[in-house]
Amino acid sequence: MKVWTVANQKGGVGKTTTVASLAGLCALKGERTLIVDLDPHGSLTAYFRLDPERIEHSAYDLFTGSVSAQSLLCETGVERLMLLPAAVALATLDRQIGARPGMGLVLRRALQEISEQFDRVLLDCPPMLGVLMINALAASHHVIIPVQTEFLALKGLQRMVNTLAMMQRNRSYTLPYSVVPTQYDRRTRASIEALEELQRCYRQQLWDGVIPVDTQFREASKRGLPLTVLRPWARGSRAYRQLFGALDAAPSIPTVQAVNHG
Amino acid sequence: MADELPPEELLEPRRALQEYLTVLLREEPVDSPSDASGNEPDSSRRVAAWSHPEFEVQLFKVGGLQLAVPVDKLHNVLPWDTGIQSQPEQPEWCHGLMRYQGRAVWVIDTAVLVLPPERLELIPHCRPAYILIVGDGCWGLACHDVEEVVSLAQDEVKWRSERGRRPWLAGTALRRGCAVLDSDAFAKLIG
Ligand SMILES: Nc1ncnc2c1ncn2[C@@H]1O[C@H](COP(=O)(O)OP(=O)(O)OP(=O)(O)O)[C@@H](O)[C@H]1O
Ligand SMILES: [Mg+2]
Repeated sequence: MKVWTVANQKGGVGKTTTVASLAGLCALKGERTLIVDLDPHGSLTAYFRLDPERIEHSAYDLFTGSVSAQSLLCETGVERLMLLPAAVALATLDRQIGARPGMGLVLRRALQEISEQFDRVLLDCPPMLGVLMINALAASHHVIIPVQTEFLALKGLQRMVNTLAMMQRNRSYTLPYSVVPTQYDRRTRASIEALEELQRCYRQQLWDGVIPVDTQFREASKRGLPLTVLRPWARGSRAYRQLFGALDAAPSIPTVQAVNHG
Repeated sequence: MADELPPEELLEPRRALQEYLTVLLREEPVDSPSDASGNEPDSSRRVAAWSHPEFEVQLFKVGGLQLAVPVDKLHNVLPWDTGIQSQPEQPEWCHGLMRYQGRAVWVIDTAVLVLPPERLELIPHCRPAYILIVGDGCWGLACHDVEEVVSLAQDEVKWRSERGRRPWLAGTALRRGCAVLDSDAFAKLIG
């Protein structure tokens, strides 16, 4: 089981779209795929037509320890793609569990429980640092950071990279990440300049393609299907397919998850 | 609101973050290391592992052409669905997307997939009558007729050594004169 986290401390950069698109591809390729919505806003949950305000059991229950991860899985309408949904209550976790020891490893343990059932897990993060994002990072083998190619895009990216660097000190191996330029519009100067800046500052981690602006993403979300499933040949789908190919080919890192005691 | 007193002394921001992370990630030494690695699905394609030593196939017809899919890979047979929605940019081997048991299924124009273009022109173009839901439940094969289920021995099939441009053609059942489809290979369509 491979776990990828999609995270950026900036909002609206395409995290949820990236999770849905990559997950659709994995499922179509035959991988048993799980997506986990860790954002209290529940956009990924809503994408698949569940209501994060009404949902009875969600990722929140992982933290109360009252139920098994298994019992939280929901169907998505895509063969082999399951969702562990979010609920609004997730927003209260930071306040409730503050910095209780070990609370950053809850998700990792939960995923270990169901690791036999899935080939691939994709985690959708909220756009801020907190107990949920830390759980995601601690559970994952690779981090995907979507960056919207626009003015000031790199600001959020720097913050995210700093967070990863700090996480690193609590792990015995490095957590690799890839920077993915999103919503790229080659007709705009902002897009071109942002991409150039990414190439200057993040050459090593930068994926060498771009996710273009494609209005069909919005339409796919209205239809409750990943664009990569609804229209595998759309421009946006082709781009995500290339991204998947590049990420999947990257050397996998050791997956023994020993964590230092600080 | 007022029940929460501010901490006496706030940490310097960087330290605050580092301590936060360290505490959250503190591990009680009960956890066994995960074995998340090493169980990649085997993607190398040996000559149809499902065919040994014999296997059942569902025979069906597309434009006069006899085809077969392994019964093990067959989910369901449905009447032709008029609710199939074609999608922009879809390739010519697709009829469109349909919902089956609440899921998205691509319906394949089987003739296009199986026949070389020059032969395709020769077969009559009439509306399919059935859809075979195959493989992993993501794909529907449009066809004109569904026939019987027969048993084939592995050595009755001339397996293609090179899957080449049509990897879903697994081989030919010589005695019956039909092509055996490997529906697992449909995933390569969008590869
Ligand atoms: N490549 C794209 N082309 C066009 N629209 C896009 C693209 N990627 C994302 N969008 C649209 O941009 C909006 C924000 O995307 P998305 O929800 O994926 O971002 P996010 O990073 O998850 O946001 P948040 O931080 O609020 O969770 C959505 O309406 C989505 O449909
Ligand atoms: Mg989101």
